[in-house]
Amino acid sequence: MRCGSRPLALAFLATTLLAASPIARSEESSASEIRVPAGTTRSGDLVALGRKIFLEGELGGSLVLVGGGEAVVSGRLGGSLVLLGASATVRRGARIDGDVLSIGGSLTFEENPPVSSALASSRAPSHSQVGGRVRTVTALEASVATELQTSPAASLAQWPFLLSFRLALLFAWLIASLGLLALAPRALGAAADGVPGRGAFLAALGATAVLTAAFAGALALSLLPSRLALGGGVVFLTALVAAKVWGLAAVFLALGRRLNATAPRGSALFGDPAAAALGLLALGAASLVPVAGPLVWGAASLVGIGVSLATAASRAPRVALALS
Amino acid sequence: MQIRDDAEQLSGLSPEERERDRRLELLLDECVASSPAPGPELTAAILAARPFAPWEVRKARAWRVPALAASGLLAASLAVFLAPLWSLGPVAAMDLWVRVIAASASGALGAALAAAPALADATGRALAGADGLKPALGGLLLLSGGSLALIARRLAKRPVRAARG
Repeated sequence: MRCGSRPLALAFLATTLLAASPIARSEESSASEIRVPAGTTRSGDLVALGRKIFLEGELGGSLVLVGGGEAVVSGRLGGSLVLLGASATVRRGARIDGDVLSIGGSLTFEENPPVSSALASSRAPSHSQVGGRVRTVTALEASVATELQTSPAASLAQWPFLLSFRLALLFAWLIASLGLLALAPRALGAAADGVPGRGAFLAALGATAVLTAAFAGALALSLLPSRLALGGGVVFLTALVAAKVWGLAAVFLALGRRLNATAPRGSALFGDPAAAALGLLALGAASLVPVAGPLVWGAASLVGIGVSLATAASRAPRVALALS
Repeated sequence: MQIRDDAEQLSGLSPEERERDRRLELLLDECVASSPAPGPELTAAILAARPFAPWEVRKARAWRVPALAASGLLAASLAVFLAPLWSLGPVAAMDLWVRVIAASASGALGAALAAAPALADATGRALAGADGLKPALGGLLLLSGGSLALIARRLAKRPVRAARG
């Protein structure tokens, strides 16, 4: 996902990993896998971090897998199956009474074609082996690919479509940035003034804000009813997304000003709108590079959040009129 | 601002001071008369060296490059998508592009929203069962929140950066 929620999602996942580890250790601290043998029944929830779980018997509660874990379900699960960055295989004859939720992992049903799309998640009933609903959220690219499976283009290679989608996203970013520049040129220009030479500081500031939001969300989830905590999380997330949109526009502008610094007045490349476009094109092109691209975009996002926070925290300039 | 009355000011001066003032005025007049007027090159150089002003975003010509960039991105997105599908016909291919982009943006968001309650419930369940986790989370929150507040406080005290240009 290229828009606002990626840094928060990663931080949230990291927090969840941290949170789940003591539970995982409490199950079977020495084993690399947890097994519920056939014919046995286990009550309560089962939470594991980065382990293999073989559920051949019956588990009364929910099964939660976090961070690289793998589950093979061939028995019965009384609660829900929750996968956070983990994978699961549901064998023939297995039964899950609750919901199945997979975020950032893979989910395979042997009995029927796998359900692995964000689009399919909204269609009930999800699967004959699941009493509740199956919901998977992988990435926007996955939804693109899955949508194409129902189209005449299903047999074609996917990369052109992913590239097309990313270019469309960059187009959306450009429109948003230019809109902000048109509406508030002075404020955005002032925010961009604060970027050069302070990238590392602003990235650290943004990362601190994201971590704070993640810790606050995790603490709220552990203390408050989940619906209430979710409401607070939505508020935090919305604020972070808004900060990222504003801040990234300032980052585009700051980067573009470097690129068009030598453009003479009167040329097409002169001015802040051209600078914003150039900055976005430069950063967008970098974001398309395999492996390094997401890192560049992620770092820019953190800098953007930092820019917004720094702008909000900085004292507003005061204009003094000196009369002679 | 108060405008000074020169006649009133001069009335309080001695004759010597008045004479000095008169000579100074004459000297200034001579300086102004003898100074060469700035040439058109200097005027043009000063005008050309002006930085971009925020109000200039209202000029249409400032948006040529952004319009070109936006058109380029949209055209590139369409071209990359449509090239392998052109055999379907332009209308069908365009329709598919619109569907895919819309589904990609709204479908995943909808799924995320639908999954949020279950995710919150599962995460809350996982967090609530861990002994000693709440104090640890509280400590981490205090640490990161405190750092954030400290930085914000420092930023608030920091002098405003000089405008560029």
